[in-house]
Parts: sequence; structure tokens; C-alpha cells
Amino acid sequence: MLETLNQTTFLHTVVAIGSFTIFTIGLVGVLSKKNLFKIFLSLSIVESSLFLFFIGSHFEVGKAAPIVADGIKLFDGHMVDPVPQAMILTTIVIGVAVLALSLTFVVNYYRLSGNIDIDKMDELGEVQ
Amino acid sequence: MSLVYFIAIPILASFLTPFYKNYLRFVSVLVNILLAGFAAFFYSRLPLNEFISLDSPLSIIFILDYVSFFFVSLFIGVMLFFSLYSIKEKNNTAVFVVTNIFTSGALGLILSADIFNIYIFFEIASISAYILTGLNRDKVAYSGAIKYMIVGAVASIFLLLGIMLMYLNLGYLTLSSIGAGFHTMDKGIQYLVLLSLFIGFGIKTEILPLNFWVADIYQATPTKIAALFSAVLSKAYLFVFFHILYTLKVDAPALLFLTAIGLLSFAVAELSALRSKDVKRIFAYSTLGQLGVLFLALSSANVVVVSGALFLILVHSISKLMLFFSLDLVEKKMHSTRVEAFAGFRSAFLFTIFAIGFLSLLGIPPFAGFIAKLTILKGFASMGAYGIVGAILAISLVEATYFFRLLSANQRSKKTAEIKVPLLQKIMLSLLALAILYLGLFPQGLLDFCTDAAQTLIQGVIHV
Amino acid sequence: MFNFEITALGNMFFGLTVLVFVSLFFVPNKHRSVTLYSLLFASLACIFYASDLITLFIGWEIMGWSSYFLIAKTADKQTLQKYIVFNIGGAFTLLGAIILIYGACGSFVYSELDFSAVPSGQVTAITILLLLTLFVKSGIMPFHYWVVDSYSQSNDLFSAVLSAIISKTGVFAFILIFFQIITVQYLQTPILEVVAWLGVLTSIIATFKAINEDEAKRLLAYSSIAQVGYIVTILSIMGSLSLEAALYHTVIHTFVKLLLFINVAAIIYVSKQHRFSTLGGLLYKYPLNFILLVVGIISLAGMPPLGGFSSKFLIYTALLEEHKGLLLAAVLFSSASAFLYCYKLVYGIYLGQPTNPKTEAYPRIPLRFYVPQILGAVILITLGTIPGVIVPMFNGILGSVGFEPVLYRGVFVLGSDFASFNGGVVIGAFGLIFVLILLFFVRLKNRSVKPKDRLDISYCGEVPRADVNLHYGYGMGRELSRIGLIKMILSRSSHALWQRVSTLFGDLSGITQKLYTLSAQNMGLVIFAFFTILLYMGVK
Repeated sequence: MLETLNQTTFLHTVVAIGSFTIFTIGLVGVLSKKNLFKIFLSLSIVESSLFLFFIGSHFEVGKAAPIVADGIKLFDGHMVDPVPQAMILTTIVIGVAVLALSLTFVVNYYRLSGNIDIDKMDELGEVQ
Repeated sequence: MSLVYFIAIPILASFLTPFYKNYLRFVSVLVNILLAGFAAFFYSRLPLNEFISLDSPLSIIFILDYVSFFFVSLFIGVMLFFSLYSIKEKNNTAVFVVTNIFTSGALGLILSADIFNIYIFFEIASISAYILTGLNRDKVAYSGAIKYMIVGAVASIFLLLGIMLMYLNLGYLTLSSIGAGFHTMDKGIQYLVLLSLFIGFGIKTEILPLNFWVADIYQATPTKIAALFSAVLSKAYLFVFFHILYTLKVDAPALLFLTAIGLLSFAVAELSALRSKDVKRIFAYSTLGQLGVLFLALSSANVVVVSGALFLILVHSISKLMLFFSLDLVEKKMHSTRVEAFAGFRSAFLFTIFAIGFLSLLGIPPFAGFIAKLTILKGFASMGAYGIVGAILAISLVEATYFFRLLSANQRSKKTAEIKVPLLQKIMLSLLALAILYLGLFPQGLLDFCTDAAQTLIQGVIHV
Repeated sequence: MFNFEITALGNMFFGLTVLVFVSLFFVPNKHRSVTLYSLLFASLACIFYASDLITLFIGWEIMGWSSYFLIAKTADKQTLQKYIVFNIGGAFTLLGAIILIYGACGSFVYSELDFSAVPSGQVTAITILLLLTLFVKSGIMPFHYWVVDSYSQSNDLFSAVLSAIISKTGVFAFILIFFQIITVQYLQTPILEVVAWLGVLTSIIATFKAINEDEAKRLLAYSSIAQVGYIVTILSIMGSLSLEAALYHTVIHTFVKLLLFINVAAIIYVSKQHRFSTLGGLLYKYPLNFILLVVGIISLAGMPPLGGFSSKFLIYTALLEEHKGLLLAAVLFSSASAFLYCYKLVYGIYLGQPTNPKTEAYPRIPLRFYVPQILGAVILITLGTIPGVIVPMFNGILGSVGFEPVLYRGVFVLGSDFASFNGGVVIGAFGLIFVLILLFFVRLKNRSVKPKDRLDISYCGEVPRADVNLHYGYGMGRELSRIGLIKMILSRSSHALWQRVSTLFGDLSGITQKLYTLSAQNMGLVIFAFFTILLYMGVK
């Protein structure tokens, strides 16, 4: 039983199902929440689910994290593929920047209009 | 000489702003002139590519072939024009800070030949675009920026999904290797990858069911910045999308689907403009329409049509710069972009500029838009696709209706204000108008280059 | 990109253009725009001398938009929209046809086009598209919607250009394309039949609309539609004699409309009145203008002895020779009805009691108005006297498009083996009769009583009030609508049709516009829904 739990394919399945669940949670948040903060947080959750999926799918049982330290001088077969990790690190940084920027906009918008409900944003649209 | 300078110089210029805060506008002009110099330097060395750090399937690659050179020079040209045009705006440091980052993001997007860098520059260009939208710092601007960010975040999620799926299945990041290995993938995964890329880029290239946000964003954005969005930003995404698509060698039904989407996009956008009462939104709809045409032309995989589309990209950029910049002058005087405000200004110069821009967009001789349209139609005729020819012409008539509605309104309405165009602006706008006329009368040189570029684009990315 | 060649056909039309432009140069006008007129002139040269379809198209489009800006100086917004939508639409069908021709023949150059290997369906499509273009430019029903408003609302000088020259570019293109490029053996007979009937129906309907019209320039605009209708009808016979008739009528109509539009323009210039109901009684004030107008309308109605008769004679002969009896009857009907509106021009402006009490205060007509009028009158009288004089030129054109030349028997005689007449004899006989009648009336004149003022007429013992319209022609033509057929023609208009099309597009636009105001959240929903749909389709 425990052996099964420790198999790479099983773990990949768990990761896939888990990240899909998180993706759905985020998606529902994006599509149904009215508060701008919650919408952006939901978007962030959706992104995180993708990160999780990507990193998780590259995890292999018995391999180390791709960190060059403690006498290890180069990447080799004992480590998992380093590229996804590097990619996700970069993507997380970008994600944080985008989230910060969006929250700035939301705060500023709230200061000017006193409104944080997406349905009440009626500044734009066809003039009559 | 390295291609990295294209990206590094503008971004550095932005980050070093504290050292020359009040002179950034001059620095921006210098930066763009420098970039133009680089482009001229690389012109005789085309095509070339540059590996950075690792070896082939994983490396960071910049590639400058005929078609990316076309877009790089278009971009630098537009940004140089923009910075020269706004050189007198002393208190607008923020614009220049962001536009420089915007330049480097977009140039990086065009030059990158590996999907992960494409994602990064996609994000850099998008973030700078979000900031540019919010630059007016009022309710409308923030509202637009928030909308833009939500939609943009969805786009980057899909792009990321596509990239991840490709890496998971192939283990490569460089475009050329992915192109070689793409058809070894499972059919279902192939479809999912293409679909994610289509949704991700489709949102940014403003294609039919994914473009309902665009008109609002243009409305919220400062008019001159909207010119940049219309003239270059959407085209950078368009180019990258088709660059990837032709590299992956997608099959005919997929391309046909894109053609249909492009045509539909053109029709719906032009139709929407008919009743619009805001000139800025009308220009936004017109941009959407033209992007639809570009989409349908670029997806034809025919050298003549694609070369026409590239020509159209240039012409459309010039025309939209003219139109939005002139509209900016009108807006400053009339404090509105509504049709009534547009009808009420008096300025023979601006009227001429608007008329030339409209005629060129409609593809009416002797202006350059005609050559672009003729080339596209000729290409479709040689493919035997007369239905598309007919559809394009019929929808263009709708376009003509609302453009001339604006001209008629201005000609025959009571004038409430006289606009005096400053000399600098007059010279710059006249230059654009002359360029349109020149390209309309002597298109051959550019057409030849466009043909080379079209061949490169259809061939897809290959390493030299 | 621009390729030109000098052809006999181009020479004729360009010659007409030069004469019209040069003579109009003298006419005073406050909306003079040298740039636009030069552009227009250049574009016309481009059309007439083009040697490939692209050059033709470039000229066609430049003509379209330069005219737009010329009309835009005076016309209202709706007229402008009508003008531009129809003309750009016409130009786009031309472009469509050109692209089809390119797809079929692989070339744009006239001399390289060969339709022998092209499937007949494609030729038919090309024909229909080209016909649409020509119909729009020449104002054939139901595409005449833009014509009347544009003609009447543009400034007086440009109305003359529109009617005299620009409506003829449709005729030029018809001759060029169907006689020279596609040639008759590839055309479908039923289409030509339809064209012939469309032309003649147009002329009938336009004639009755003209009769009912109260505004001088609108009347002339309808008349212009009717006359070009004849030309199209006669062209669709596609014979040697019919081509000659069409060319002849083109020349005549150019000068007639030049004369009449400037004539009316002169009256409008001095009186500031556009309507017959506010004009009248100007005969003794402007006798020279009156005489020139009479020359114009005699030609317009196709009565002997002036030039108009020559061209009408050829049209009738050509129709008879081809045994097109019904068409001939229709043309005759329309032609005869044309007398009514021609007469309206005379009595509406010059005869009867003046409606406007201030008639005496009108200034003199500037002499410069007479330059185009006298040019037109001289040419019309000349062509009435020596109608054969331009036949050699027409024979040159006929030869260049590969048709048999028509009979030429000296300058006085016009016609074919079938029928001919001697212009010298006709004008001599009419001149004699005219002189006799003139003498008779000159004798009578001493006995006529002059009214003291315009209200010095009494009827049924009543003295009219000053605000009663005393013009005896006032409201004339209204009785016509008692006739069922004519009432039907007059009550119908294509306005409703085009209005419906416009509303339809407007409503569609209103619907699609809603899409572009979706909130960000709904946008997200659309994106995910689209993704799911495509995913589902792909899986299937």
C-alpha cells in the first residue's frame, strides 16, 4: 500500500487531480466573486495551480532537488530536471509583480470611486 | 554586437531614470535612435541568431530573420516617432519610463525564439501596457486598467498552460526543436497545446470572441498611448503567434479555422463601429477590424497574401498613429472624443490628415492601404478563394460608411473651436501622411522586402 | 503601376472633359478648390487613358473621393453619406470584378485579357459585378438613390460636372469593358436583355419623377438619369449602329446638360431661388438666357432640328434595325413624356406671371455664365446642321474596338442604309417655318396689352391677393398623378428600400456593440466558454 503511494505515477496523478481542483476553485472565484480583491486573488490561485502542476509533474521519486550545493558541482541524473524549477521561479516573480500592480490599481480605484464591486464599474462603455 | 542590446538598452534607460529625471524624454529619443542604428547595422547581416548560455534545446535564443527584422524596425520606428512627437512634454516622465520598458518587452517578444522567453517578454510587454492604460490616474483609467489586467491575467494563464504542456511532452523550449518534434506528440495534446496558445495569444491579438474588452481599454487609455497599442503592441503578439504557428506546421483545417475567425472578427468589429458615438471607440473597432483582416491574411499560408498582410501591418501602423495623434489634438481642444466634439473642430490640416488616414485604411488609391489590400486580394484570387475576396470588399464598405460619416459630420456641422496645430506636430503628422502617399505610389521596394519576410514567416523558425 | 495608352475612345471622352472643364473655368463660383478640381481632372484622364484595370480603378476611386470632397462643401450629411456609400460600393464591386478577372486571366492589362478559357459562370459573375459599378455611376434604378440629391445639392458648377462628365464615366467603362475587353461572344444574352430593360425603365420612371419635380436642379438630375438610361439601353444592343448612337447621345447629352445646368445656375445666381414655384416671368429680363435654354431643351427632348434629334434618330434607327419593337415603344414613350419636363423648365422660369415681386431688382447675369452655354449651344446647333461631321471620329472608335464602321455620306447626312436624314435640309425647313411664325408674332406684338404690375390680372371678377401664387404653371404636373400607372411610379421610391437596409445594419450594429461593453468578469466567462467549446469540438 505504502509502496503504491510512493510511486511516481501515483504522485503525478495526485498532483494532477489536486492542481485541477485548485484550478477549478480559482476559476469559480474569478467568475463568481464580485469583490475586485477576491477576483485578483482567485487569478493568483489559478496561476498557483499551474505552478504546482508543472513542478509536481517533474517530480520523480528518489531524485534530489536541483540545487548545486554541498559538494555537488553539476546537474546529473540524481536530480530532477532543473528547467521547470527555474521557469516556475521566474514565473512566480512575474506573478507577484502582476498581483502587486493589480492590487495597486484596485486600491487607487477604490480611493477615487469608493467602489470595489466589479458589477458597479460603469465608467466605460458606449456613450449614449 | 549583440541582439541583447535591443532589449537591454531601453530597459536600462528606464531604470537609470533618477540620474536624468528631467531629461528622460531626450534620452528616450537617443535610445530609439541608437536602436535604429543597430537595426541598420544588422540589416546587411540578415538572417542571424544568437545563443545565450546553454546549448540548443534549452538555450535562450534570439533570432533576427527577415520577418522579425521587419517587426523590429517597425517597432523602433514607431517608438522613435512617438518619443520625438512628445519631446516637448516636460512633465510626463512616467510615460517615457514605461514606454521604454514597453519597447524592450515588445522587442524581446519579437526576437525571442524560445517559448519561455516569449512568455517572459509577453508579460513584460503586458505589464507595461497595463501601467500605460492607468497613466491618467483617474477613475476611468483605473477601471480600464483593472479590466485589462483581469483579461490579461487569463491570457497569460492560457499561454503558460500551452508552454508547460509543450515542455512536459517534449522537454524542449527552443522553437525550432519544438517545431521538429511537435508532430510526434499525441494528437490530443497537440490540439490542447494549440488551443491554449490560440486562447492566450487570441486575447492579446484581439480576435473575435476574445476581444470584447478592447474598445473599453482604448477608451480608458490616453489617446496617444492607444495609438501605440493599436499600431504596434497587438501586432507584436500577432507576429509571435504566427511565428510559432508556422514553426509548429499546423495542418490546413486549423489554419482554415483561423481564417474564418479572422473574417468573423473583421465583420463584427466593423459592424459595431457603425453606431458608435465615440471616435476613440470607433478607432478601436477599426483596429479590431484590421486585426481581423491581418489574422485572416496571415493564416492563409500563401506568400503573396502574407506579404500583403505585412505591408498592411506597416500601413495600418502609420495610419493609426496619424489618426490617434490627431485625435489627441482634437481631444485636448474639445475635451471630449465624442462624435459631436469631432464634428465641431475647424482645422483644414487635421481634416486632411484624418481624410488621408481614413482613405488609406479603407484601401482607396492612391494611398498605401490600397497596395496592401490589392496584394492580399490578388493572393486570395490566385488561391481561388473568391468568397473571401467578396467578404473583405463587402465589409470594407461598412467601414467606409462610418469613416465617411465622421468626415461628413465634420464638414457640415457648426464649428465651435479652431484648432491650431503646433509646428512640431504639424511636421510629424505631415511626414506620416507623405509616407502613406509615397508607399502608395512607389510600393515596389517595400513589397519585395515583404515577400522575403513572408517566405521566412511561412517557413517557420529554423536555425542558420 | 500607372500604365497609359492613347485610344480613340479615350480621346473622345477626354476631349469632352477638357471642353467642359475649360468652359466651366469661366463660371464664377465661390466654392472653387483648385486642388480638388485638378485631382478630379487627373483622375478622369487616368480613367480614359488607362491601359490596365488597376490604373482604371485608381482613377475611378480618386474620382469618387475627390467628388465627395467637392460635394461636401454644400450638401447635407445624409446626401454625402448616400453619395459615398453608393460610390465606394460601386468602386468595390469594380475591384471585385478586377480581382476576378485577374484570377481568371492572370493579368490586369487590357490587351492580355483573354476570356476564351474562362468558365462562363465566372464571366457572368464578372459581368454582373461590372454592371453594378456602372449602374451606380450612371444612376440606373435602383442605384440612382444617391444621384438626385448629390446633383441638386452640390454647388452649381459641380452639378454640371457631375451630370456632364462623371455620369459618362459609367458609359465609358461600359464601352471599354463590354465592347473591347470581354467582347460580346462571352456575354450572356439574358443579362443584356435585363440591362436594356433596366435602362429604359429607369428613363421612364425618372422622366415622370422629373415632371413632378419643383426644384430646377432636381429636375435636371432626374433628366440626367433618364438620358443615361437611354444610353445604357442602346449600348446593351451591342451593335455597330447602336454603339454609334450611344456615342452620339453621349456627346449630345454632355453639352445639353452643361448648357442647362449652367443656365439654371445663372438664374439661381441672380435670383437665389431654386424652385419653379418661386420663379417665373423672367423672359424679358434675361432673353439671351432664355434663348440658350430653348436650344438646350429642344436638344434634350430630341426634337428636330438641333443636335438632340440626330442622336435620338440614331437610337430609334438602331432599335428598329435590331427589331426591338417593344424597347423602341418604351423609349418613344419616355422620350415623348420628356417634353413635359422640358417645357416646365421654360414656363417655370421664364413665362407666366412672376411669383416673386422682387423680380425687377434681380441683377444682370454675369457674362462669364454664357461661356459654357454658348459653347454648348454652338455645338448643338452645329450637330443639328451637319450631323455627319463627327461620324468619322465614331468610325475610328468603332474600328478600334473591332466593329464595322457605319455609313458616312458627307457632313450633312446621318444614318444608315436603313434610314437617314439630311441635317441641312431639316434645319433649313425648320428655320423657314420659325422665321415665318416669328414674323407673325412680331406683327401681333403691337396689339398686345402690357399689365401694369404683376397683380394686374383679374379672373372671375376677383382681384388676386399678393400672396397668391400667380404663376399659371404653379402645381402643374400634379394632375398627372391621377393616372394610375404614373401615380404608382410617383408614389414609390427606392428610399424605403435603402432606408430599411440602413436600419437593418444599424440594429445589427446596436446588437454587436453590446458585446464590446462586457464586464471583465463576463469576458472571462466568454473566454472559458470558448475554450471549453473548442475543447469539446476537438475531442469529438
